[in-house]
Amino acid sequence: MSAYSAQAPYRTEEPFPVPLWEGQPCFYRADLHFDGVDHSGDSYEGRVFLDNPEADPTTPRELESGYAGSINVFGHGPCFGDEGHCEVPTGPIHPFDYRRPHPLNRQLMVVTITDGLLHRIDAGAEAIDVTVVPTNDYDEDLGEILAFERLSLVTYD
Amino acid sequence: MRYRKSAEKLRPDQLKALRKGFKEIKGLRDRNGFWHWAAVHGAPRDGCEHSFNQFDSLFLPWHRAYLYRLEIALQTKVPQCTLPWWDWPTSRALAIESNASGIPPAFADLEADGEVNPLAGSDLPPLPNDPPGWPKATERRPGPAASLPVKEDIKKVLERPDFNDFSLRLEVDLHNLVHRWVGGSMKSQVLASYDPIFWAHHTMVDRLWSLWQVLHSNRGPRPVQWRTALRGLDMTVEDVLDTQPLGYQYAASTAHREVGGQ
Repeated sequence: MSAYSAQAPYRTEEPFPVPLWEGQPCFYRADLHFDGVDHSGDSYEGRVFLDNPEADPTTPRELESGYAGSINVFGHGPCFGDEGHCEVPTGPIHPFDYRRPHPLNRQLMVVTITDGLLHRIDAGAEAIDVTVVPTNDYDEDLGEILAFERLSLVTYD
Repeated sequence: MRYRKSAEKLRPDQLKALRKGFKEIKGLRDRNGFWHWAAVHGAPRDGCEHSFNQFDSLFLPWHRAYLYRLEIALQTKVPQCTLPWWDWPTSRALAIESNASGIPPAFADLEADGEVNPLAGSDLPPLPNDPPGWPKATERRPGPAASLPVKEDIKKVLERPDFNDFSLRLEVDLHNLVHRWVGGSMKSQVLASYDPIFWAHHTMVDRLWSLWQVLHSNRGPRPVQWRTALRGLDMTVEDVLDTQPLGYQYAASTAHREVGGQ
C-alpha cells in the first residue's frame, strides 16, 4: 500500500467536502482517521490544522489558526534486536501461527475535529484542506517521521 | 483489599514502602526482579500491546495485568507496597505553582533518606546481543509542566461511552502524550518500562479505565476477547476485567481504625 512519509508537513492534495445539508452542518461529531500510522521511530505529535497550509510548529494551537487537534505517536524507538527483528510480517506464517500481531504493525489514530470543522463552516467553508505538522518539544530534527497510509474524514449524525 | 493512591499524596510510610520495594526488586535477577518485568514490555521481549485498530485493542487489559505482576513482585519483598498513580492534572498544577518539573517529587527527587532515590531512574541490563546505542541508564527530559493534561482533557476521554473509542482516545490523547512529555527513555517503547515513573503513569491509565467502568457500568472488552492470552503475563483478558479479584482498588486517601473484638 502506498503511504505518505516525509519530514515536512502533510497537506491534502484535494480538499475534503464538508458534509452540509441545506447549508447547515449535518453531523454532531467529526473525526479524522489516520490509517496505517507508522510508529517504528521516535515519539512525536502531529498537529492538525484546517485550511492553514502554511502552518508550522510555531503556529498557535487555536481555532483561529485552524488548529483542530493532534495525534500523539508513542514511538517504538531504536531497534535493539537482531537482524529482521523489526521487520513486520504480512501475516501468520502458516494456519497454526497463533501469535499476536507484530508490535510494529501500523496503527489507526483518530482525532476528533468537531469544533475545528464547525469553526471553518461558520467562516463559510464548504471544503477543507488538512495540514499535519509533525513536531516534538525539543526542536530536534525529526527526520521522515510522519508516515501513514490514508486519511479519512468521518462524521456522525 | 489494597488501595492504590495518588503519588502526590502518599504518606511518609507509604512512600518509604514503595521506595524499599523498588530498591529490593532492582537487586533481584530472577522472575521477581525489576529488570525481568521491564524487559517484558520493552527490549528485549517487546511484549506490550498497543492499539493497531479500533476493534482488537488489548492495550488496557495487557497493561492492567502487567502492573499486577510487578506489584506482586514488589509485595513479595514489601507486602504493604502498592503502585501509586500519577495524577497528571494535580502534578501539573503543583508544578506551575512551585516551578517544579511536573513529575511527582516521589519520583523526581534524586535522593531520599540519604540514598539514591530508586524511583528517580534505573540502570539498564546489558542485552545478550550487545546492540550499539543501548544505554546504561534511563534518562528524562520533561517538557513544560503546562503541557501535561488538565482535568477537562481527562473528562472528555472518560465521557466516551464506547469502550473501543474510549480505549483508543485514552491511549493516543493522554497516554502517548505523557510518554512523549517525559521524554528521554519514556518516549521510547523499548526503554520506557525501565523508568520507574512508567509504572505510576500506567497506574493512572489503569485507574481511568477503572473509573470508566464505574461511570458506564461496563467492563469494556468484547466477550470474544476474554479468552485471549496476554503475552508474557500468564493471564487472560477475563482475568483482569475487574480490579477487585486482583486485590486492589483506587482511592484518593484511606484511613483505618483497628477495633478490639470480644
